[in-house]
This record gives sequence, C-alpha cells and structure tokens, in this order.
Amino acid sequence: MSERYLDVNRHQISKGILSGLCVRCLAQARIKLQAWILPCDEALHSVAMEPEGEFVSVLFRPVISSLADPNGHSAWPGGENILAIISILFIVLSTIALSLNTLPELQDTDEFGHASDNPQLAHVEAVCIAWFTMEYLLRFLSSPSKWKFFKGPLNIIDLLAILPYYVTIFLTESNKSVLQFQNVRRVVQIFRIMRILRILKLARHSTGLQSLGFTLRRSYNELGLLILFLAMGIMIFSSLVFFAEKDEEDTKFKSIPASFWWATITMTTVGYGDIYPKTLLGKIVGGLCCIAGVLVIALPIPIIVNNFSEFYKEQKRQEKAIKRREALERAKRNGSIVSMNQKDVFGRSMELMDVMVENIDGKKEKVHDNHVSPCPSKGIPKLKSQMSSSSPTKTLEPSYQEHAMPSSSPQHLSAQKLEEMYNKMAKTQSQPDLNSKEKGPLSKAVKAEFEMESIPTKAIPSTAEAITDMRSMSSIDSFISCATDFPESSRFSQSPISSIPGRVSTNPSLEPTLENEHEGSQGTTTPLIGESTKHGGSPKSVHFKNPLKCSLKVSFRGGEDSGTGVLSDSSSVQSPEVSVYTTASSRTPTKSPENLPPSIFTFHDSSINKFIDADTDEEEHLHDGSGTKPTQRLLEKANHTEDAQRRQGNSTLPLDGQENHVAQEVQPLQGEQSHPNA
Amino acid sequence: MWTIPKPRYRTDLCAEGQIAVNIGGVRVMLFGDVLNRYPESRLAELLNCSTQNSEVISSLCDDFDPSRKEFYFDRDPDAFKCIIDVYYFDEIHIKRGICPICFIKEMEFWKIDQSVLDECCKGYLSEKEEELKEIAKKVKIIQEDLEVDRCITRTQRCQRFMWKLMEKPGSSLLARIIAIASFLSVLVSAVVMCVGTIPELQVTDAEGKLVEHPILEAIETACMSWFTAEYLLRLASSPNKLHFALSFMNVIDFMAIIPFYVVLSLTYLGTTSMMELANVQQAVQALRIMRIARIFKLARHSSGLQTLTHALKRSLKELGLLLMYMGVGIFVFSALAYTMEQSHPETLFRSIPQSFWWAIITMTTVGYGDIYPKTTLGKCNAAVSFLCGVIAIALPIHPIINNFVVFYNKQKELETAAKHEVELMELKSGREARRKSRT
Repeated sequence: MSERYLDVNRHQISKGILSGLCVRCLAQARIKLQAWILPCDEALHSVAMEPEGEFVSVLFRPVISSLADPNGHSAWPGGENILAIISILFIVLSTIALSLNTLPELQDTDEFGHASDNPQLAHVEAVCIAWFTMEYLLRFLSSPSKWKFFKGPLNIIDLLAILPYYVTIFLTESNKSVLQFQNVRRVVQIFRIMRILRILKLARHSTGLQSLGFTLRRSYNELGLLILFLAMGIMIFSSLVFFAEKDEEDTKFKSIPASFWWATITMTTVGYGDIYPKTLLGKIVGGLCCIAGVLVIALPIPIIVNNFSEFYKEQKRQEKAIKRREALERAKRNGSIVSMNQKDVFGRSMELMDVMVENIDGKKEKVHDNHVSPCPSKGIPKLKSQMSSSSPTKTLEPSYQEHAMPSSSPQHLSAQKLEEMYNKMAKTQSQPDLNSKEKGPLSKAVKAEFEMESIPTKAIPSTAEAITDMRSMSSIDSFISCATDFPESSRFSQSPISSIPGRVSTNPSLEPTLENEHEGSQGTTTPLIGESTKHGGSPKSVHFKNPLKCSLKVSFRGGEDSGTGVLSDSSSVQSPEVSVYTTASSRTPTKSPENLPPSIFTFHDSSINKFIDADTDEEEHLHDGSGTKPTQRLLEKANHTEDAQRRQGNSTLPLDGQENHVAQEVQPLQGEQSHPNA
Repeated sequence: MWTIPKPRYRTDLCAEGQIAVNIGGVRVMLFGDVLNRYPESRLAELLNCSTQNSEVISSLCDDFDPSRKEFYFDRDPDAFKCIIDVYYFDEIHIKRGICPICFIKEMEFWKIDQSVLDECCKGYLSEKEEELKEIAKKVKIIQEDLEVDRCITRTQRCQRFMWKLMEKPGSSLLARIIAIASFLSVLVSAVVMCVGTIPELQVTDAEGKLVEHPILEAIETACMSWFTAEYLLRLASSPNKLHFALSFMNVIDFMAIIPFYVVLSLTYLGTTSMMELANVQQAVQALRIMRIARIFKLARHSSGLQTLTHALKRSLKELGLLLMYMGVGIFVFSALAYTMEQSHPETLFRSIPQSFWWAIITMTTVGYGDIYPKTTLGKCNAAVSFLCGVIAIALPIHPIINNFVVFYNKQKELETAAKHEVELMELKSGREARRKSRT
C-alpha cells in the first residue's frame, strides 16, 4: 500500500486519475508512513548513529565504541556486551541500594537525630555513581556532536541519574551549619527521590522500553483521550454519587472532590473499600460507574496498543538491519573482508560464474554424476585463461542447455556489496543512483579467470525442440547490465570450439589471497572442490538430475555465434547491486534466444546468503549452506533484500520496482524447483 | 446449472447462434441462447442486431470485425469475467481487487441490473459508497470554508460571519480565541461546581444553612452568562434554526444553561412567597444535579468524544448484550450467594436484592469489601462469579471496542482523504486553467 502511495507520489500525473475511494487507501498509507515509519527511522538513527567518535579514538577506541554502542557491534568483539551487562548490573544494584536505604533497620542516625544513610550502602551508591559518571563522560567525549549528544533523550536520562547525587553532596557540604540544614534537608529529600530516575537508564539496553517511550510520545492523542474519558466519568459519577449520598448520616461523600477518589477507584475497578455508597441510589450509581469505567478504559487502549505493536515491529526490523551492517563492518575490520575498489569487486564477482556445458542427448546419467563434483571429476582444468578485455578464448558448446540458476558472488564480495547497499540506505539515497553507478564498473571490469574444462562428451544437438521458456524474464536492471556487457561477451563467439562438446565451467579461481581460512578452502586453490562440497544439494544438483527439463531450454542452434548470450549473461550477474538483491537476474539468458546456445549455467548462490544474513557467523553459514535447498535460500535472500529495500523505500520516498523485481525473479525459480520433480 | 455450456476462449470459429466478443484483448465465444436470458443486456442486444446494419452495431460496441464476426469492446476484461457470470448463475460476485464503484460502472455499460449483484458484494459496495459520501461531505465542508462570501445583504453577511466565528474555530484567530475561551469556561464552571460542595469553603446563610461561597457563585454566574451569550449567538447566526435547536450538541448546551435560570426563577418565586419555600428548595436541589450536563459540553471541543458517542450509538446492540449478560449474572450469583450464605449466623447477605450490590461489585472486579461471603461454598461461588463477570464483560466489550477503533481510524483516514481530494481538485482546476490559457 505504501509503495503504491510512493509510486503515486512520484508520478504526479497518476494522482489525478485516482478516484476518491482509492484516495482513502492512499490516505491510509500516508498516515502510516508519516506516523510510524518515518519517525521510527529518525528515532533509530538518532540512537544508533550517535557513537563513533574521532576524539580519543586511537587510545580509547575499543572502550569508547563499546561504551557508546552496547548493542553488540564495534571494534572490540564481545567487549561491548560485557560492558552492557556491567552497566545493567550497576543500575540494578544502585536501585536496590536506594530502596534498602529506606528500611528503618538499616538506617543510621546522624548527630541531629535524623535518619541517615547506611554507610555501607552509601559506598555502594558512590561506586555506582562513579561508574555512571565515567560512562557518561566517555560517551560525551566520544560523541561527534556534543550538542546533539546533550540533547539526546537517553543522555538526558543519564544526566538526571547522576546529577542528584552531586547536587546533594554539594548542598550538604556547603551548608554545614545547623540553621540552614533544615531547609537544605527538604531540598535534599527531593533530589533523593530523583535518584529513582536511574532505573530509566535501562531504556538504553532495552528495545522494548525505548519503543514504549516512543509509543507514548506518538500516541499522546489517544492518551489524552483516555484521560479525558476518565476525567469526565469521574466528574459525572462523583457528582451523581454525591447527590445520592449526601443526606446519609456519617457519609464519607462529603463533597464532590472528596468523592473523586471513590469514582477513580471504582472506575479503574481497584476498589479499596475505604469509601463505598450505602443508599440504594448510590449503589445504582456505583454499579453504572463500574461498567462505564470498564468501557471507558477499554476503548482507547487498543489504539495505543496498536501503535505500540506497529512501532515495535518496525523497530525490530530496523534493528536487525543495523546489526547486519555492523556485522559486516566487524568482519571487514577482522580482515576477512579487504577493501577493494569497484573494479576488483567486479572482477571477483565474475568468479561466481560456473558455466557448465553439457550435451543433451542420452548422457543424462553421466551428466548427473558430473555435476555433483563438477571440476574434480574431470580432473585438471584444461583451459585456464585470464579473461581480460582482450583475451577471450572461450568456446562454448553449441548444444548447450542453459540453466539460469541463482547466481551468487563469493562471500567477501557480496559483503562488500551489501555494505554499499546499506551505506546507501543510511544516506537515504534514491534507487536510480544505483543503476547508474553499476554501469560504470560493469563495462570495464570483466576480469576474471575462468577455468574451463572441455569434457569429451557427445554433443548431439537437440534441434527438435526450440523451447524458450520465458518464465524467467529478467528485470530491466539485469537487462541493462547485460546490454553493457554485450560487446565483451561477443568476443567469445569468435573462437568457437564448437566441435568439441564440452563443459565449460568458470570458477572462482581468482580468489584473492586475503581470505580467511574457510573462504580459502573454497577459493583459491581448489575452487571447484570447495564449491561442490559446499553445496551438495544446491542448485546444480537439482538441475542436473533432469537436465532436459530445466526451466530454461534454449534449443541448440549450430555453432554460430554461440558464446555470446551466455557470457553476456554471466557478466550481467556481476553488476554488484543486481547480484545482491536479485540474484535471480542471472536468469537473463532468455533475452536473446536466437543467439543463445543451449548451455548450462550454474551460478552458485550459496555464498551470498552468508553475508545477507550477516548476523550469524560466517563459519556456520559455510556449513549450513549445504543443507538448505537453493530455492529456499533464494527465497530467504529475496526476503532479506525485500526487507532492505522496503527499509530503503521508507527512508527515501521514491522506489518500488525493485521489490516486484525480486518477487518476479523468485517465483519462476520456485517453479523450476518443482519442475524437475514432476 | 452446469448443463449450460461455459464460454469458450480463443476459438476461432464462430458457429451458428454464437457471437465472438473481444473485451480488452480477451476473446470470448458466447452462446446466443445463454445471452438471451437477459434480453435487455448489451450483449443480448448485440446478438439480436448482429445481422442488421453496422450503425446499430457500432453504437453498441467499439469495433466490429466483419470477417471474423468479432465485436470489440474497450472495457476491463477482469470485470467482464465477473459480469458474464450473470448469464450462467444469475448472480454476480465482485472479484477481489476490483473497485466496486468501477464495477458498477461496468455493469451499467453492459446494461445489467444492479439487483443481480449478490448480497455479500452488495454490502461491500454500500460500505464503499458510504465512505465516498462521507468523503464528499468532508470535501464540501472544506470547500465551504474556503469559499468566499457571496451573500448579498448585509445582515446575511453578518450572520455568516458570526456563524463562522462561533462554529469554525479554525477559520480565524478570533474564532480560535472564542473556542478556547468557551472551553476554559466549561472547565472553570465544572471545577466551581465541584469545589462549591466542599464544606470548608461553604458559608452559612441567615438561616444557618450552608450555601455556596459568594465568590464561587459569582464565577458561576459569569460562566452561565457566557454560555447563554454563546448559545444565543449561535442560534441567531445559524442558517437553519430548527435544525440547530434539535442537534445533539446544542441540546446539551441548552440543558447546561436551563437549570440555572430555573433555579433563579424558583428562588425568586420562593422569596416572593408564591410557593412554599421547602418545595422550592427541593426542586433547586434536584436541578443542581442537572448542572453536570455542562461537562458534556466538552464534547464540542474534542473529536475523540464525538467518536465515542458515535461508536456507542453504533454498538447499542452490544451494550444491550453487555447489560443483559451482567443482569443475568447478577441475578444468578446473588441468588446463589444468598442461599449459600444462609447457613452462616452473621451473614452479610440479608436478602437477594441486597446481594445484588455484592454481585455487581464482584463481577466487575471492583471488590469494596463491604459485603463478602464467609462460608466456604459462598467463597467458591464468589470465585466463579468473578470469573464469569470477567468473561461477561470482556465478550461484548470487544465489538464495542472494535467499533470504536475502526471508527476512530476511519475518521482520520477520511479526513486525510478529503484533504487529498481537495488538493486533487485544485490540481485539476489548475491544469484546466492552464489549458485554457494555452488555447
């Protein structure tokens, strides 16, 4: 709904066409957007973005960043959690001490005979306050914008938790004389009460408390309504009961204000029983008051509850996003991700491409075997060529079947992309920029190493059926990226070793040296092994079982011009953004069916997931990637990306197509999955 | 029902007694005898005149391909798929996703009576129509506010000015000030009414009776005169006097004012000894309760309260249900409690009507503790009655709450929609003006 609203907002023209009724839908979306999503964005950004100081950065960086952001992400892994727990413990401890202090048994008497604090508890209090003060000061020093920090609601609470203590000390120390002391005592008592505010410090560590505060701020209208209803009810019923009861002897309803208490206690159904009506009329009024109270309180509360749940949902979602981004950053800092320039990124993303060439005819069985461990079974890669802009010596078998599988880039790569995406999100950029950005690197960077293997298999072209399954219509995005890549890919067609029926598998052989271990295992040295072991039940296997039935069948067309479409395709996958959110865009082959040789493309999609769910650890993903089915994972991914886009969409008004895009892409894949089974 | 042949799609041949129609790209073959079940519909007319001259045909459809004998209509194929059902099943269901207003227009085009629309979809339609009407009403109000005065006579203009001043707080600064003043005076008079009953603040009059403090009385008088002036000004400036006097809010206003004057006149009569003093005082006492009505005057200034009254009006049935459940529960449990507590010598339950009070207080979970069961059986009964009370209240309250929430949200949305509509109108008029200026 909100998407539609945004859409309409973008195109002024279509706005005029809408009838009044549909305008209501828009109004709904508009209200929701303005009331919840945008403010939630702001609130979260103000909370989450405040850390990251440059001040004492080098020395105290770990301490500061962990202090500043206890949500579990910064330079010192694990440390921030510990600090958050310590902080919470101190809050709880000081609150307990505060309440214990009022127990008469634990109190001391000072020289004037007044009750004063227990000395042990005073020590506890001092320690807690010292911790709070240190925390506050470090945060303050590390904040980039001091004034903003000072104004932040959570920081005001922090300050309020500390200040009373110092004010008390100041007042008691500066007024030692007995005369002034009486007056000071009263002030001190007030400040002592203010100490209880420190329990609100817990809000920093609890999403629930934050959203409660936000909800109350947002729904003051409804709260006002609740209070108004209650006040009116109290007024009416207390005056009614007063007139009913005032002639009774020894009545407690002496005046209307005196019966306010009764009305309040009755309407809220607390019912202490210190005042209750005695006459018949009074009892009738009392009964009505009970029922009216239940009604009146129950009415506006669902609205507030609704507000709360809406906000809570939104906050949860956004928090997840922030976490993901933080995880990426952490991973980068740890060294598993090395910063690369766009070109490198692109070059690497080429590696994800796995071109499989198979013959369609009777060798299905064999094919099936092959794909399970595609490269190793063949033994040594026969062709290893650097696919720079001028050295395309690739040949693709004419009689290929094309599999458009969800592509994926190796983890580090996608991580980079994701990060970019998140950054963009944070900056609330609009979608169009992405496309334009992509194109640049795209056209340049086709630098990848392909491991090619030609497998001696009989290539008997299945000319009979020219089935172009257009289910996987690619999105404009991928189409554009393909278009840009076309010149390059057309090179491949020039040297067709068409006569050799073979299998070309392009593999992540250009794996960077800077990977950490698990990545390495799949990367540099034995890329294919890594790949194949990694996903036993991944796209490939599903596909190869019935290669003939794969969703995308492009009939074999002789040797002419074979490679073109295929490679253009694969490169299209590369476009950083596209491969991130529409991994399925690799399904583009259908674009130019005439040129396309039937060939099998398998794109590994496992690794992307890893970074899309960056909340969990990398290692885990390496393992669990093998278990899940490709479509499932793709769906998951799609969800994630959809999520991300939605978020993006919320912060930046214009956007939508993408979402549909993802959805479109995902569906056919699902179909594909079911297809072979049938 | 299933014996009637269904339409065939994408068939090229057009056999005898059939016509081929193409609705927005969807080609359908229709059987003549089926279409003739509704002879007044457009398709049936087309069938009957298909042999005649092309003029009639072109008036009925958008295009005609004589070679394929295909009639083309530039209409929504989705809606048509629903509409064609009428020939087969004698009823129409609106598919989800089609705007009902659009659908009605389609039905009009195909010349099919609205009565064939099924009951379930009729509800949907009427709901939407109601919303549209409400939006239109709001748009009209907004436009009226924006409209420039076109009244001719001076008195009319004056009246209009007063009306805006009193009724539309958003129209000008003065109007806003007046609204705030009237709101404050309501609050002040309510507070004065309450404070006046505190014994410490009362003074004794000549006869040794406690009466209200003179200052409070003065404030009360001032507030009442303000209310009166406000009411009269509103009445004078309203375009339709009878409508004004009968509207809900104004009745409340009247109720808030009238007791004061009645009391005044009664005391005057009392002092002039036309009536007995005791009677007068009793009447005055009764009328004082009427003062409470002034609290309802707040509703004029709070949309939430108006929503509440609307919601309660809508859910009268549920309120009745609530009262009935409570009534049944009270009867059952007070009787049970009375019989069970008979065994105890110092029972607090002396009669069934007396234990009504206990039942109410228990079932609403208020629990004053002035009456409580003492025997074990009675305590069990109390526990059960408490549980039943919670359920009896919770069940019927839910629809009431739902009504309220829906109404509350809808109000906001309709408001926004109306504003949107007005914006659109401005946009359109601007576009038209531009077009005119261009030509």
